Amino acid sequence: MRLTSDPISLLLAQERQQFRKTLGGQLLFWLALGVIIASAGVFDFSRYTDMPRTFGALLADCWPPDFERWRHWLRPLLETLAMSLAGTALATLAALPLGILAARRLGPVWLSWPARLILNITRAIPCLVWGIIFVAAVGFGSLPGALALACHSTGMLGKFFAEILEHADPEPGHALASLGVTPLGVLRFALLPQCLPRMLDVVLYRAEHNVREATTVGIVGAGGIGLEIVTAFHLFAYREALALLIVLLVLVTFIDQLSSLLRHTLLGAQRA
Amino acid sequence: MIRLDNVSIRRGASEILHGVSTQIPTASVTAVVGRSGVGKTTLLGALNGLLRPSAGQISVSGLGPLDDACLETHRRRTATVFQNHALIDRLSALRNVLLGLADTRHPLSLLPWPQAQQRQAAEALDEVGLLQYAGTRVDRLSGGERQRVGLARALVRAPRLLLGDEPFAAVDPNQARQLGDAIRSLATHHGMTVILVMHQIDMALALADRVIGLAHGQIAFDGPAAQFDRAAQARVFSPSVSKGA
Repeated sequence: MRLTSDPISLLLAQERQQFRKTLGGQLLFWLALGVIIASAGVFDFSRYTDMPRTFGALLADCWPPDFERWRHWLRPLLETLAMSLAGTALATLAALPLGILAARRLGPVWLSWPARLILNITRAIPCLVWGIIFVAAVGFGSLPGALALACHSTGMLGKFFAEILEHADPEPGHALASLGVTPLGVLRFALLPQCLPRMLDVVLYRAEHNVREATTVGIVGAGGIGLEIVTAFHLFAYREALALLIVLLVLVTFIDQLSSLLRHTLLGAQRA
Repeated sequence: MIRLDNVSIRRGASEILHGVSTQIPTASVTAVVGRSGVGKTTLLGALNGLLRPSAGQISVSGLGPLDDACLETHRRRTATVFQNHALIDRLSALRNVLLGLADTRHPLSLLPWPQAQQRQAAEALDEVGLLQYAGTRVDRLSGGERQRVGLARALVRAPRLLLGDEPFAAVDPNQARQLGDAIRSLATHHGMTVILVMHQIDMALALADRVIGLAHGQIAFDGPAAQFDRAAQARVFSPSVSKGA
């Protein structure tokens, strides 16, 4: 007969006790998730009755895609690409100092707190709202789009940069500090070389994201392919709208491939 | 010569070292031994000026008592080898060694490292027998090789004082012996003063000229390695407070 006090039985009893302890919390979590999803009306199945028919009609109206005006789309496509890349570049330049100051271990509290506030504000305001603000401030075109993407991306990139720096191995920094290297030198020579690959990864991901986001910003008057798509929908030119979406898909796929190539090429580089 | 007169060090509310006095001759290898938490790493911190004595004085020959005026000069002449290497994994061995010269560069400089400094770093790698791995990322090296890169990073500064915080703890016995031989040769051929915190008593006796045994923040043994016999070891490693050698 096995004794209940043997180590394996004790371990299993502890596991059962642990499971019972967390059971209540788990049930509460799934219940809360169900309530949140239900509050969005997801379980209101009467709303779905017309959906297949509407989708079918829309697809029939879209097909086949109409590429006849393709020459007119080249400029908006380039605008979309330019505003997304310019927005990412500006955001990276702004996010680097802000992220460094916001990182808990690095900046003094009197500077990290305002830096975090700026990052929170720029991140909290949606890109579309930034687009409306900048269209009102500087007029139509790709400039307000680039500025809107830069503002929102600064908040996102700065937060990621701060977190990456906070999680860097502090030991190489301690080693340099023991040699009399200044805090700025420790940041430059010990922390940034460690964090650079992950920072670059985040920037490339953001650049991809901004190509898609630039289309949305275009809708509020910031130019680019987004404006063309919205105009096509407004004119009920669904075949042209589908063609534009296919062009956008090709552009996003191209950027995705380019970003993968850049990651592969740059992340292996060793620069201090 | 490094001289400690009645040095006490506080960390927060507690005093870690109490009235430590000793003399460490130039171009010697000294092993600092003792149980965990007796203040060995604190002593190293005091010797490279990262921790300031709450009482007493540390003097270095040629500089005098360590104070604000000479601390920077002392730290420029001092290098430390760490237990966990403290290297940047994704950089090559050469780049890691160059970081030992980071205090000579402006932090915002985007220029490549000057040729002269790259040569210095390559020579330091050559000295520890790793020149062939200069371009290899350090995360592809073994524990012993990584520790030797850490040693090269310390050597590239041509320090007068080399401190080691358990530099052999993370390497196998064979690599530890090789590393020990390299350190021994530095003291002999370059006149470098070496102070190593160590746990391996056999290795300390084989490598060091002198042994400082710490117990409860005080010196329990201070003398030639040959005199660090079983009785002295028992005094250092016994749980009760003991003093004097």
